[in-house]
Amino acid sequence: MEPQESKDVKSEAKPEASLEETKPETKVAKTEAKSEPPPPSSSKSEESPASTNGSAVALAASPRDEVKKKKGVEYAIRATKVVKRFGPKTAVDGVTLKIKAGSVYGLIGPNGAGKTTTFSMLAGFLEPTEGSLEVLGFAPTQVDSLRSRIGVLPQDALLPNSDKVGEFLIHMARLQNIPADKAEAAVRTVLEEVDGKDWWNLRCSALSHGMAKRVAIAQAFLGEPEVVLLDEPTAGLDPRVAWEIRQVIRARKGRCTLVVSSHNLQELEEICDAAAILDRGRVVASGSINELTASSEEVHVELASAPVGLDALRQVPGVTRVEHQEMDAMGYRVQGDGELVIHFDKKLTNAESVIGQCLWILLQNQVRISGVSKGRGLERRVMELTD
Amino acid sequence: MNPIQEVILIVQRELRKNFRSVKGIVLLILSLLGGGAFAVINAILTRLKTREMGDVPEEQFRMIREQGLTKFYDGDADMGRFLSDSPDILWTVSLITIWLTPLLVAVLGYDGVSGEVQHRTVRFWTVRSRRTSYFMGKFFGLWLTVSGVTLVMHLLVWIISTFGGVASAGTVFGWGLRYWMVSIPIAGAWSAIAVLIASQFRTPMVSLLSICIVFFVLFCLKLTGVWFESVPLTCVYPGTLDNFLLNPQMKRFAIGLAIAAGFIVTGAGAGSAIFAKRDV
Repeated sequence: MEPQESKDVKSEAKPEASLEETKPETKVAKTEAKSEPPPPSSSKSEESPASTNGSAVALAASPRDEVKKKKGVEYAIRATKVVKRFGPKTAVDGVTLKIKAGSVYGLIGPNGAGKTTTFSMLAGFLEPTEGSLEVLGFAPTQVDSLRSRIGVLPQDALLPNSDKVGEFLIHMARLQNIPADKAEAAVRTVLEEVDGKDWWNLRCSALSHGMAKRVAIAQAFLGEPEVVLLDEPTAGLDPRVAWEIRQVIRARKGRCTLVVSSHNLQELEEICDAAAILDRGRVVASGSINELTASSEEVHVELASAPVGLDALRQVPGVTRVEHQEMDAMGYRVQGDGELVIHFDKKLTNAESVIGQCLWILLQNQVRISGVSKGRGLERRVMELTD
Repeated sequence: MNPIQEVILIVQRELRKNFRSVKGIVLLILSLLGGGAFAVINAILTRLKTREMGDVPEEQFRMIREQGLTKFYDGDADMGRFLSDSPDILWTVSLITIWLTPLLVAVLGYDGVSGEVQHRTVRFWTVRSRRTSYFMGKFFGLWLTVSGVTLVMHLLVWIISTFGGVASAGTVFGWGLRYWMVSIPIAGAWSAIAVLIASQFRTPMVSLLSICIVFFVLFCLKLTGVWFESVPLTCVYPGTLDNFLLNPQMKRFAIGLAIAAGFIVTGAGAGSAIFAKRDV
């Protein structure tokens, strides 16, 4: 992915190249190798609606189809200089993104950054004022071309109160062109996936917030779509339900391209292969999570006590610079006795080796350590890049 | 999946939702009670009339009815003659139905689109169906619901009238069906206007008020048309289309049908075109 068009001067990412050599590439290969195995009980193993309309989840695709498939879905999503204005207010200002097929991509940013607006344009809810958007090669509003190939979890969209869970999902399945005789099986499969197999006859109005979110996620997963857009999937949920939903999303990794918009940076760091950080409608940085967090370039050591043998640390092979910080990026005092930031050349060594050697030196110097992390962490990175 | 299949699926859901909702059930019960009570009263009156005025020949009754109907339909003798053969109760129920249709349409249709736009529920549909299909599904769903509710009311009146001895079953059901079918294009016209207006707003209550205001404005235009004896102006109120649709002259009937179709095509077409372009 590449936000090259953004005027961001802070961005350190070299997304296109870097991502291809890191996780997403692996994911794509994995996806293709697996040929999208459905869940064991899935009706899709017989004749999925997606496979009938020629989508990428066909189980027995010919080599020629495979080539076409690969060629067709190299980038699941392309956004080029997208602008969205609401009257005088510019919510999204020249966003350019390329999201590789098979990757898990995060849209990150503070409130008002333009995440949900970008997401809504990707889902076809909003028309961009300027620029172009493509999902699997089609404009998001080309519903018929994207039918059953894209699943969307809209933020804060209420389920229809009068419908029962089962009939609502069956209706959704039928609109996705899943044949009537296969719709129930498809719905039961996704309900089981979100741990809601007993909710079939419950009215949507009777569902708790967590249950409703799961049903909404189930409708997004219905029909094994190639691209799934999830807007704030865990917003407003208690930690346990949020964790459970993260597991559901994690289980989808590798089966489709996932785009997750969220405030929860820890969650995105866990789930995503890559992300774009938005601020005031612009992409201020993007790239793989490793790149964004610099986890392959620096190690952070939280100190519970000084003194620190910085000179000894500098002697570690591959280490280029060592800093002792007492303030964090936002100017707040770091807990304990500060933090060591150890920069290293990723061509010469790796984070694990640096951690091992540096910890050995610190422990020999009687330093008490309260935490070690690779990179800056997404939260810190976002804090640095956004106002 | 073609747009027609999409519309059919959405209409099926709308019908299920409307007839299962509290609003739908209450309106259905009210229609049944109203229709039933009216039919019973009329049947009693018919019996009394037959008993008390048994000596007055039927032809004389028919003449009186014909004159009254001719006057009612602005001196249209053909209409008077044609409708004088139908049982009074069926004509009266038809008139009531046509007058109540805008109310039914407003109450049943005000939140069809706006309610789902307000809570973004519509987003579950717009990724799966064309916006125009969604809109047309809502429109046809409303039209069929209103026609269904009126059919139930008519049906009850037909049954009570038949058993009450108003006329033979053949006469009652023949005329009854004709009167009900006349209400269908009128309900379609009202539904198209209502869905067009309701879909412009995100708040159902604002939609309801706007529908009521527009319907009232159309009624005022009709009154202005009556005052100035301008037939085209009276036709902006779909409730006057029965003057055309009940007419035995094919040309007048066709004009009525064309006007109703004009309302439907304009309302539903404009509504779906606007909805397809708007942000949801």
